[in-house]
Amino acid sequence: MIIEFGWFLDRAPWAFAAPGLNRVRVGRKNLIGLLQTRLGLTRPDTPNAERVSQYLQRLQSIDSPAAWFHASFAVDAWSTAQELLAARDDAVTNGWDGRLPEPLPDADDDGPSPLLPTLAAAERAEGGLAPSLADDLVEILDELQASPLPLGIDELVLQHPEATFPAVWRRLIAALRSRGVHVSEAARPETQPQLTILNAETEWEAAEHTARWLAAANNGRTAVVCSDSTSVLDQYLTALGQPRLGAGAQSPWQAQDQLIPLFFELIWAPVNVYLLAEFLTLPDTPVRHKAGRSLLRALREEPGTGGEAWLKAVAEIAGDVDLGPALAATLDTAFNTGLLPASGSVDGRSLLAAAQWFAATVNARAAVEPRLQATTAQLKRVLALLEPLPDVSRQDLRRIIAAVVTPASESILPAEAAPWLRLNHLVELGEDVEDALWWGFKSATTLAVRRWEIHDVRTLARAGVHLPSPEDLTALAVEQTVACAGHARRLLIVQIAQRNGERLNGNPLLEGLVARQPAPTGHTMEQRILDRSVPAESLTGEDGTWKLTGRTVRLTPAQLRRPEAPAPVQEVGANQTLIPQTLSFSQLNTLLGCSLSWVLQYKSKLRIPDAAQIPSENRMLGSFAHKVVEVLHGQLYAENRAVPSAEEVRNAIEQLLPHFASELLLPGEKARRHAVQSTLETAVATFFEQLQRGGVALQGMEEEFRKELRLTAGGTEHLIPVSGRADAVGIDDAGRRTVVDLKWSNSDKYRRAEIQDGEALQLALYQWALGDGDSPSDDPTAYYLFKQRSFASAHGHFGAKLPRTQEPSELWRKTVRSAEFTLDEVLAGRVTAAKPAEDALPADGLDAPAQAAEAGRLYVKPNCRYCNFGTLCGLKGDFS
Amino acid sequence: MSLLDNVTMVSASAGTGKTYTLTTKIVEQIEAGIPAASIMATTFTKKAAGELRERIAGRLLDRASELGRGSGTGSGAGGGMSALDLAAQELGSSLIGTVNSVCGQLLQEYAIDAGLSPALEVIGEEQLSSIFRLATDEVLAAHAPEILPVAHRLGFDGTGARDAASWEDTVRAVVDAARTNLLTAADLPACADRSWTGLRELLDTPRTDRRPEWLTQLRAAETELEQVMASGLMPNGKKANVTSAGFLEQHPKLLAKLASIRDVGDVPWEVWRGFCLSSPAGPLKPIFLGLRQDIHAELLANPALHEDLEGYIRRVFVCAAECLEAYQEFKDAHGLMDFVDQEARVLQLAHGNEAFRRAFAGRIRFLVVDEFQDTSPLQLALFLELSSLAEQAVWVGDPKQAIYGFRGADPELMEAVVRQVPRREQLSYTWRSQQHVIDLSKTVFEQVFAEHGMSPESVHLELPPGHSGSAFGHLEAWTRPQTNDSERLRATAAGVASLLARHSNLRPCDVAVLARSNADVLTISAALDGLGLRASRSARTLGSAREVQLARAAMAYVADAYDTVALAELVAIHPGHPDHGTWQQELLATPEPDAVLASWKTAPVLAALDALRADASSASPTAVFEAVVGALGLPELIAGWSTPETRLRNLDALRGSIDQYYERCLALRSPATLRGFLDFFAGEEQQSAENSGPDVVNVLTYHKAKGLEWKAVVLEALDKDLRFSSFGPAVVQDVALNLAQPLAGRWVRFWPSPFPYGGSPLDERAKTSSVAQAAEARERRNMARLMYVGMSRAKEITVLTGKNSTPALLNNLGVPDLMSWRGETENDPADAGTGANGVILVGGDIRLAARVETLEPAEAVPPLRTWTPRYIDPSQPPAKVRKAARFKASSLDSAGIEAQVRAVAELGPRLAQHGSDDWGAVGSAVHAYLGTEFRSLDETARIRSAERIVQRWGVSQTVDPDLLLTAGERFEAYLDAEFPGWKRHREAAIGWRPEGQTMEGWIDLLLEGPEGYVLVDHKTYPGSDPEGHIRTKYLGQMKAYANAIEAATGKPVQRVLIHLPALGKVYEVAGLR
Ligand code: SF4
Repeated sequence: MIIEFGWFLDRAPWAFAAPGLNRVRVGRKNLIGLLQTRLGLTRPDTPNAERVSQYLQRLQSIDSPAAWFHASFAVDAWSTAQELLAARDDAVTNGWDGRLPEPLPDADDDGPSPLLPTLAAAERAEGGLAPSLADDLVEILDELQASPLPLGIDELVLQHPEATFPAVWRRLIAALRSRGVHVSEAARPETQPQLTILNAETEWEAAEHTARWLAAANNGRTAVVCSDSTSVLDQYLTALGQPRLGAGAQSPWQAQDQLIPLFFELIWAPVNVYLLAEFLTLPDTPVRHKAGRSLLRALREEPGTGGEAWLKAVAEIAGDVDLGPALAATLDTAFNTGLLPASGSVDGRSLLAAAQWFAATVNARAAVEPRLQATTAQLKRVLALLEPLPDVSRQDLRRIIAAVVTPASESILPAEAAPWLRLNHLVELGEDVEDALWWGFKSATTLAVRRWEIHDVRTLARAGVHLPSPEDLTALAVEQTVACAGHARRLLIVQIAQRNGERLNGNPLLEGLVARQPAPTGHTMEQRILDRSVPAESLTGEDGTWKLTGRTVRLTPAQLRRPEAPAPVQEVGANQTLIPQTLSFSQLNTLLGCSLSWVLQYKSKLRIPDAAQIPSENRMLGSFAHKVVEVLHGQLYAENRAVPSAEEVRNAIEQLLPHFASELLLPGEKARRHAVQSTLETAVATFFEQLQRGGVALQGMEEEFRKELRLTAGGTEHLIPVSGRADAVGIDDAGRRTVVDLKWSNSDKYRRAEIQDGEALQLALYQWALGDGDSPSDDPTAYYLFKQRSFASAHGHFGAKLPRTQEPSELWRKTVRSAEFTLDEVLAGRVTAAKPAEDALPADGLDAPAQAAEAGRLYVKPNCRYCNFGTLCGLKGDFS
Repeated sequence: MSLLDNVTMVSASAGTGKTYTLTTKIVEQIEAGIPAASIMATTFTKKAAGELRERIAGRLLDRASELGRGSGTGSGAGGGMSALDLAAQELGSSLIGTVNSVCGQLLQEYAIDAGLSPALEVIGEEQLSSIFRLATDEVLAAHAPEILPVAHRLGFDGTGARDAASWEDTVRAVVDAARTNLLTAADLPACADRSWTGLRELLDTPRTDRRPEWLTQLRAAETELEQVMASGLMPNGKKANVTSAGFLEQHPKLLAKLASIRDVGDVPWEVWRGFCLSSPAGPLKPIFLGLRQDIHAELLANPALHEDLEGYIRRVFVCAAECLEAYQEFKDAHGLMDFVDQEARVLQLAHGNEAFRRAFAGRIRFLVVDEFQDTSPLQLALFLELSSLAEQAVWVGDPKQAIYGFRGADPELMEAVVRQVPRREQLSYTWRSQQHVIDLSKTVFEQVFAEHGMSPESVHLELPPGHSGSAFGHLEAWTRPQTNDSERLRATAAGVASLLARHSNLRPCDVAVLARSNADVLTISAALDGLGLRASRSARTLGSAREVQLARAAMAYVADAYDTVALAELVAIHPGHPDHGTWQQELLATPEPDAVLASWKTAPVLAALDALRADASSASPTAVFEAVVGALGLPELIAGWSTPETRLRNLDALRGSIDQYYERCLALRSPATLRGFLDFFAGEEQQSAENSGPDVVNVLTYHKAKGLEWKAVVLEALDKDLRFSSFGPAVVQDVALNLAQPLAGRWVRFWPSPFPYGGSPLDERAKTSSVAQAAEARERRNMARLMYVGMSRAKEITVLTGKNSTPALLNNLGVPDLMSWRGETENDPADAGTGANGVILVGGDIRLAARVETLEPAEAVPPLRTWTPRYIDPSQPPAKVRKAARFKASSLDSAGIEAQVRAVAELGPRLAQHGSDDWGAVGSAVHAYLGTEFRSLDETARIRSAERIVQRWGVSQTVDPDLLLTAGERFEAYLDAEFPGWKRHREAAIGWRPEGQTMEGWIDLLLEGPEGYVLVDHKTYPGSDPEGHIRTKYLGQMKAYANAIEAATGKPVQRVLIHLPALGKVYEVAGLR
């Protein structure tokens, strides 16, 4: 067998043009593997996480408050062990046996840094440490001496001069030589390729030209070096009918690798509803789709687990024939009743117990979904590491998971058979080709080496351990790259200026390669680089001929596409089905504000997913506050009381918080929670007190109503049922019905303005719906603004009375007129996007509110801020 | 030796080739033999660091080839690299970067020395607030009950003025100020004392708390007002004017304020100060004005106000001190670190950690600090410390360009340090600008900076000898008299258009307009847009760019097929969707929306997205994004859209925003998912990528203009007021600089003001305080530097702008009557051809010829509706389905392969009766043994080898080493008999490339005979149907191997044998087809 051995060849292909028998190219790792096979030294790999855990035990046994690593170890034992183990492995790879030389007697030697003595102590410490690649080399060196087993290696061809290998590898080469292996050096190409540097602004631009270049020839003698992900390039290649390169980036963020970490974030109380939503929507979620949907719906209603909505969802799951009570119980335990205490740490076994259903489900899924086998294996490993631990903090748990679920190389679409030779770095090029293309040049690196403290380098040298210096290895990498470049006649380097919106730094290899290119004397490096560079935008001529390093393509002009903003008024033809089946206040408000928004929401049923609509901020606080008042009223009403005690208020808040605002229970939310609680406590108390002071007896919360609204539209009369619930309904001294609507918003400005302008439609609608007549009474109404702890009302019952410019009856008339007008339009098939329509009004004419006023209609401002259709109506469109 | 003996300060005025000097100094050091790894250089931005590294590398290689020590020109490789060559390559791993990246790298390497977690995660700028909140939550929660009532009265609880800092914000600001000035928790109580002592001087001696009386009077007034409202008559019987606009506006506001008063102790001070305006309308005036005036007179003597102010100051500092500690503990426990920590920790190491000091001194010999003028106090201390460890240090900067005071840099401190550097170089030759442009900045700033105590030499600029050239450049002054700010900016835009029209050699990209605020940048950009000139700053947010909307909708649709809004958006925006132009008709008219939506999904572009959904389960959000861009065919669409370059950069920026999301997840240690990203992005307001290209006018802030240059520069905002305040947290240093402890004597002053709208007696007092005067002086100096930066950016044309011909800000820099301009009818013949029609007067007597004009906003022109689309590849037939690039023989399918499988030899009895859980490992052990040339071992060695293998594979519970030995012996015996003299290749490597695919593999045993090969594979199958097992599992593999061998050697594979060691049998696979 003939082996080519080089420092950078571990990922190199064996051969391109003429693959053969018993000819391989190997780097360090593969050479060791091969020798292990020959010497009968193979064994299973121990995953690094396990070795870290073993080394951690060793460090524990040598830890003391005075230990150099003590502080780091105390804050992060796992990472400290990982770091020190890496140092240990690096020293051992270079032949260290764990012993330090005696200190030199002379004063010059101020000894090693504290690192080496620590490593030495850990080497002597109790406890096992599974061997790794680092230990293998030493073992092989010994075995080569001791074992008579023939190696079956005829020749070892060194890709670069023997002297350029680090010391311990030179020992290995010598050992092989003495075992009869013929050692030679690979021939080095004598020439340098013709170099072209293609400069593009973004990866997309670079991909366009690169794919085109590849598609322009048959590539039977082309090497393609991919030093970075090719997923963008692959899109272009596919579009040109070319095979994909399929190089993926290393990423810790692949969906399936989020399963384990996400799950373990969710086992602690209180549950983080946002993460829960992410867990339920993950493609490989172990929660059955249908069940997940029920739970998500519950979260959208009440952002917490364990409340009414949650229990309803659980019951729904239990009652579903496909799902059933067992699943319902499991999910309820997992995310509601069985959560582990948030503070402090728990033992490994409790974690195992909490994860049991998860592990079982993932295992079962893995049987049918091979992709999940890796996940199952990782989960097993995590659980195995956890099991013996007496106490695990949330932090430790995360670290252990991070150590096991390591970044994987991803590519949505794998590489395809292609005529070219695919490499990861130019140093892997081992035979002559016509063209070499280097994609991802700026990201190209050869593995970094550990930087050792100069004192430690010296100390180890005295122990016979010679660490390769970073300088030597950099020189080696550059020289090898340059040498391998000589295998190509032409080299095309692709550079991009920015990635992810940030400028990318250059790769110094560029200067290294350019320096070896012929150049007129006196040209500076900057000029010489420029001489070799072509900007991507210069490749296409006026006539659409594209040229790059001898490859030519005739291009066609892209189709000019000029987007037009959608017409603000859509004429879709008369359509009686657009009559509302029912109306609620918010439907009516939407309809009057913007009929397009109303049709899309209530007729076309366009929806965004529940997972994207979990309430937070004011929406969450509003419904929470609301519920608190409702619950308190229930208690008071039963006992015929009017004002709750401070304690009752506090209890209600505390009891409802986990269901309606569980977000506030998360770490980091305590201050906000206190603020909300205290605001809410006073606000709720003020609410009841003021009602009492104002002589209003609260009778019902969430009073349901249903009343038909008579409207003439499209030439006919319609009776449309209006239904809903009025927040707080009571009765005043004079026996009049009072209605209060409860709001939580940052400012009270708009609500006050509504009252002053007599345009509080919601309140008028409640009075109308709860009353008998065709028009709402002017019985007392108010908004109650929780955050400001104040009422806004035109009636004196609620504190200061705001002056009002329009009576409710007048408002109602205008509202009906407005509704009839809008429905006329809609039924005639004229659906209007209100804001764009308003923006299109001529600047010198009447604006929309003025037009409405003139026609005696109520003007309702379109609620664009909270509308999901801004892109669809063109308001947020880009028509440039 | 003085601390600064090894330091050289290079003062480089604007345009004097600072980077060149810096590069030269580093290159000289390396030439003198200092290894590249011993250089440390910090720069202000990542970009600058990258450029510096590239320049040094270039210059090193130039030097190498000059000296003939290069890597040859065109000669082959090999022969080793010169030291300079190598150094150029080494730069990548040396400590060149921003202060933070360098500190980060040092801490990563010395984490354990520093007692930190080695898995440090740096908290990005965007995550700082959420991490701070998380860390200090408990502290804030604990202080809230005490502090909230006071904060409420002072308006800092979130219910006060809209932009009033909340008490939490203030605590955070104090913590930040403390940290960047190396103050510890223990230092803060003293800061509280000093703050209160200072503030108290502005107040009156406390007397009695008259708030209850105030309230009584206020309520009485309220009643009076109610009566007036009810009767429509004033108390004096006159008709009340309750219909004036002023009254209608003020009345409800006053009522709202009065309504908010419940408990007298709870009333915000701002309500007492401002329950009504200073000029109340209609009936409000007689009722309320007197009371207002009385309260104002008594306000500063109110003991409760004293108590609130003092209490608030003290509580803020106490809380800040605890937060400081809690934040630190939190980060330590979670392995987190922010930018300030990075610097502080390195400083700590450099100051007190012997191991680090030894290591650093042994490693870094030449230390360079670029943009020294913008260092923060903490960085300053750090550089002093590190410089003292290095052999030599060079600080490069220009005190005149220190403009980052608002970020915590302290130019005064920096100047004090610089003054003590003994060795100094001053660069005064400018390569940037032409004569007239230089004249302007020189004449203006020699005077202005003289006020700062700077010598004319340090401001002086001149052209290098022999560089005077024939072009002199010219000056312009534009007066825009409009009263409305945005009108004025529109006039400037019109000026830019006419400037471009006048100078045919000036392309839009040669012009820059500098403004003070981002809002102004946006207004100017929009105005330029209106004139058909594209500005670098796009007014669009990233999320509203068409390509981004499409990509986002596609990601949302991939995340959830039920997202019908996303579905509709895709149809509405994607011109390739068949229903693109008609979707509204279809959707709005139908009684069956579900059917319409379903039909939309059948279009190819949506089918492609549906197909992606399956792959998304193993993809990151980034990968999904990249895939949807392809599936949507976005690049091709973009090629036909306007500004394709900007749009491609937008895609890149969107991918950058996914990265930001990851960063947040990392900091919060939470997982990242597609759903999570979509939520994150929905809450983001990111700017669209900048426009670029020759037809784009640069519009940016003065701060961003630092270090850049253009042919023509228009300076906006020359009329702005100095903005300064005595209130809020500020860092003060009132002792002279001590180099050994550069930050000693610094403290945080915090004066709260409960009156966010001014107009209080407190504001009156504060105005005359020494604190306000110092703040004003500091701000004036800041502005002088900022203006200097602006005025030194132009190469050929500097344009000044003003509301009138004496721009207020320029005349408020400390030199009275510094500058004005005027048109002149008589033109100096020497200025003919420059377009000069007037002069700029500097300091009253210096006259600089200039073009002077008065501008009006111009009519907008209709936006460009057509453009030349880019060229694209001719369309291709759909890609064919291809095979995978690589395959493993062992994973090939056996289905469809024909062969005869039969037993050909019985080697002996079964060695295993059945399999086990770890049978895979048993197989590996058997392979391991059979893979060696065990026959060359003597018996003891063989046994030892087998034992070792069994033990290494951890299967000693399952099998006995004997199994291996026996299997080996009897199989070898079989081979001896069957294939005598054949060469045995164990673990033979075979490579193969059929039709572009690649296979690389190891054949267990390959026998080489005279005519061809025999292929042998060991299978440790323990079961009872070997034939079936072979047939279903191994035919593909064997066939591939056989083909590969034949391809590689040209010789036939004569037989294919399967050795079943556990069963003691050999099977043959024949007739493989
Ligand atoms: S964004 Fe505004 S105009 Fe557009 S649909 Fe929604 S509500 Fe109507």
